[in-house]
Amino acid sequence: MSLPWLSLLMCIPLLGIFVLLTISSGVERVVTNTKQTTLWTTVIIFLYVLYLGLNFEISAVPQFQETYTTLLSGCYYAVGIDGVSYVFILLSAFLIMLVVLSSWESIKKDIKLYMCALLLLECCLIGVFIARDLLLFFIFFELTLIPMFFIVGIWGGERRLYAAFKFFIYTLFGSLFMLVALVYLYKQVGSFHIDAIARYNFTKQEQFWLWLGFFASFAIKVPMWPVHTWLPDTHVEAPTGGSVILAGILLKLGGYGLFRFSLPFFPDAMAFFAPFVFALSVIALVYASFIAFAQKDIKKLVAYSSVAHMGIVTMGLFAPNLQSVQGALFQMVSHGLISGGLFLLVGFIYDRMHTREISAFGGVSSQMPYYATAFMILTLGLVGLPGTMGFVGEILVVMGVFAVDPFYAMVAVSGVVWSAMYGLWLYRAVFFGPVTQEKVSQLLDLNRREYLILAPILAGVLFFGLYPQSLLRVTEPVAKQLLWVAQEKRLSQEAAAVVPDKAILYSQTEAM
Amino acid sequence: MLIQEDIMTLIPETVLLCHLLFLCFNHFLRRNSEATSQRGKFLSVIFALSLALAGSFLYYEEGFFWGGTVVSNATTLTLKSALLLCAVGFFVCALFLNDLRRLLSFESMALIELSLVGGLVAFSAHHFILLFAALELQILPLYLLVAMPKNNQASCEGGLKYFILGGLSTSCLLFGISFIYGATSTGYFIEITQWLMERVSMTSDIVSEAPSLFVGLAFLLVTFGFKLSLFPFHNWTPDVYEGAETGTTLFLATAAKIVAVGVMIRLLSDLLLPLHGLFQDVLSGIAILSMFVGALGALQQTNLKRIFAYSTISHMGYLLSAASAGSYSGFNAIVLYLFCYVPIAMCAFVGLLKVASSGKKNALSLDLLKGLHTSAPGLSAFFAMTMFALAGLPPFPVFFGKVFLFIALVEQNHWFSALSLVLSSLIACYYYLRIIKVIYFEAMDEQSALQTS
Repeated sequence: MSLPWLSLLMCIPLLGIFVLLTISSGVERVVTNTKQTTLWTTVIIFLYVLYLGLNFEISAVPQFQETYTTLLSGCYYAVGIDGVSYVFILLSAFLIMLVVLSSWESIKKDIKLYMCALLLLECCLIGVFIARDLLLFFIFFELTLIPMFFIVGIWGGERRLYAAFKFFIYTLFGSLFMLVALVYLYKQVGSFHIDAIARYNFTKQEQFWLWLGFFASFAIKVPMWPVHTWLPDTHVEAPTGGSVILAGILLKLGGYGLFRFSLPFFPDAMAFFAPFVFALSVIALVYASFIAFAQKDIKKLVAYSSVAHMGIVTMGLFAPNLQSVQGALFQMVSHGLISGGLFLLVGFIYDRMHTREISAFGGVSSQMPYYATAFMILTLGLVGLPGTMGFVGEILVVMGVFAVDPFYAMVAVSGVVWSAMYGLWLYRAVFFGPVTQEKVSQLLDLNRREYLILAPILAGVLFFGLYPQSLLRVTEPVAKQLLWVAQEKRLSQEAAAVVPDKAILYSQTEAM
Repeated sequence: MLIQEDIMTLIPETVLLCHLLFLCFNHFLRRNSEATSQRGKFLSVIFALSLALAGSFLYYEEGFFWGGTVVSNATTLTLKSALLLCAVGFFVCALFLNDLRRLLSFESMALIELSLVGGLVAFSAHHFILLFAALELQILPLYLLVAMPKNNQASCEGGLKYFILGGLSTSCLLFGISFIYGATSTGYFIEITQWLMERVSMTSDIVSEAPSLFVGLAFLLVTFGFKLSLFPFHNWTPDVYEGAETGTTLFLATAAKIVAVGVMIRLLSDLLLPLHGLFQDVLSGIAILSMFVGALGALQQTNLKRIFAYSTISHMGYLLSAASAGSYSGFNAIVLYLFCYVPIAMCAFVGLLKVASSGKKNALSLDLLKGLHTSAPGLSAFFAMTMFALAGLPPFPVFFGKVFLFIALVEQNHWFSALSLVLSSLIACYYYLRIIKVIYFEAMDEQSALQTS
């Protein structure tokens, strides 16, 4: 029984787009039909991914593999999923489903194009996570830019043109360097397949340059300080759905790439650059937290908090031991849910108030108690309170980093304080105190659709916070495997470095 | 027996010439009856081209013919089939697009076919005089084509500019050939190659031994710089593209460029490979400058045809950078890039034709695209995809062409060229995105302005 499960999975969103295009614009109820079609497509994808999970065996071996040769020798259409890819595919399918629901009312113009862009984005994201071939990965990685460019550019806020261009050019800038590195890799290895590259031993100098090429792309995507500046702009201008996908999944592509490619391919460079990346991550953590504290716009505050939290992820990936890498992976998922949920909440209130200025709010909790509760849970997750998802990732990363470098671990711990500072400050400013604005007093609490969107996110944040093992168990074999590959490579490098020395020694003694 | 073989190697050219004669007789003898519709003429051209394509494969035989003046090998076959496929594509577009068909009178059709014959001969020329004659045959009809709308001032201006500069470049070619003849005392490529091989292996300093050879090569460089619209010789491109009718521009930007690139590859790979180390710095310098001139020049333009002209300049720069790598994988990459790039360029101009027919003005300004998304969603999606493809984004074919160029450059450790390619295509991306912005984002602006007012 070997159906091309993963290729079929990628085809579902494309099929959805096709159905959307056949809905002719002359028909009545076209808007409703469009929404329904998209919603059901994404639901089917989510169920399909869950079904794949039933047949999924937790091990480091990629499953549901398909490998076909292409015209270029050494370049394959190779797909397959292991634990880590599965988790991210599930996250993407889950979040995009909710995004479609959240766009139900808020997207007014050109809904068909919007839904097409969402489905195309979903297709690309699935492709990115299932690719077992670097060129295939790169193709989908770049392709995500196109729908996102449209989502920000057409349905964005006032400065959407600036934001869309900045997002596109900035990200493309990094990935073109990755392309050059990729081509060099191909020249050396003779193949783009991940397994073939993982078996190849690069010299230290090669690793140095190749790592830089990959890092240029992933660091911009994560984004790390100081190349994070596109993120707040894009977040503020993007529509709610775009922000959720951006924070929830697109940022994870950077972390995923570092984990999947940089870690096993260039272990020496990873070790060499670790102090540098630690420094950048810590700067991001502290600097972005303080910047977040100074924001007047709720969305911008959450965007800067993303920069800070992704700093923890990069730190964990560079420690690199099992604890910290597992923590980084967990942190990526938890950040996807928590900040995705926060962006959704910000979107809900923006739909009601048409403003995101913090000063325009105050005392919202008395008008919208359920909304306030949901916001509370997610804020506590952002802060990293034990019992929520945010805590697990942070503590694992900090513990892992502590074993390598206690100083950076201590600074990272202080990150909890900083995030509590801006998170709770935001909560106080928006939800507590007397109602001063007239508009706030007319606010209505969550409606049924919004409950439906929030309930699974909150459940996930609490469930995985209380029972993290359920998720960690899935990612563990892969993390172990990649770390083992990296370790082996470093050992063989050292052995190779030692042998010539001995040879020289022997020759010298003989000469004597 | 021998003459038969000779004719067989030039079968595509022969077929096209016969068809051209048939077309002329048909036109002039039955001028009043209008018996043959325009569509029928197109079909017959397509038939002749396909016949030529099939013939070039069926009667393919490697070797030298016509007393060593004509060569036939895998490179010439690939280039010829590329040109013929491009021409078939052009005429198929013309068959289905009213806007293109309207522009093509009988005369322009005949001229295009004549230019194709010239291009085909130029690919297989193995003697400088034959090469010169073939290139002349290829470019003379193009001057006429550009200046064809004789009541349009811009067209006449473009045609005249093209003619004067083209004439200058042709004289450079002839001058260069005479210098090379002076140095080597032969025009046959085979003998020149032998001469070069001997000198290169014997003496270390070939420049001082035969300086006139390098003067000749410098003149050749000028000619090909003009034909490929490379950096210091690129200025005619935007004017000519703007002045000519869009159909003609389509032909200039695709088929004419294939000829120029193909002949350049043939000269570099068959003739000048022993000398490659001497001028590869010059080539890569010109390539890098062309990339950036093309990318930066287009930023300020508001006319769509001028934007595409600059885009052609930078794409030619990419191609030349691979040529400067001087390896067979570099030349392969160029041919593959042509196969990826030419269809996309054709799509871009077809999109332009459709846009032009929807607007009332002849001038193709960027503003014409405003609101296209609402008025013609299909066309604007097509146009947007073409722009992303030209920008070299995956999964569109130009991306794979770029990957091949990168592979060729990285193999030879031409890091500087590779990085320039990266940076210039990033800059170029900006103006492609700007076109998409006008189509999709500004249309919304107008709509919302209407709603609020």
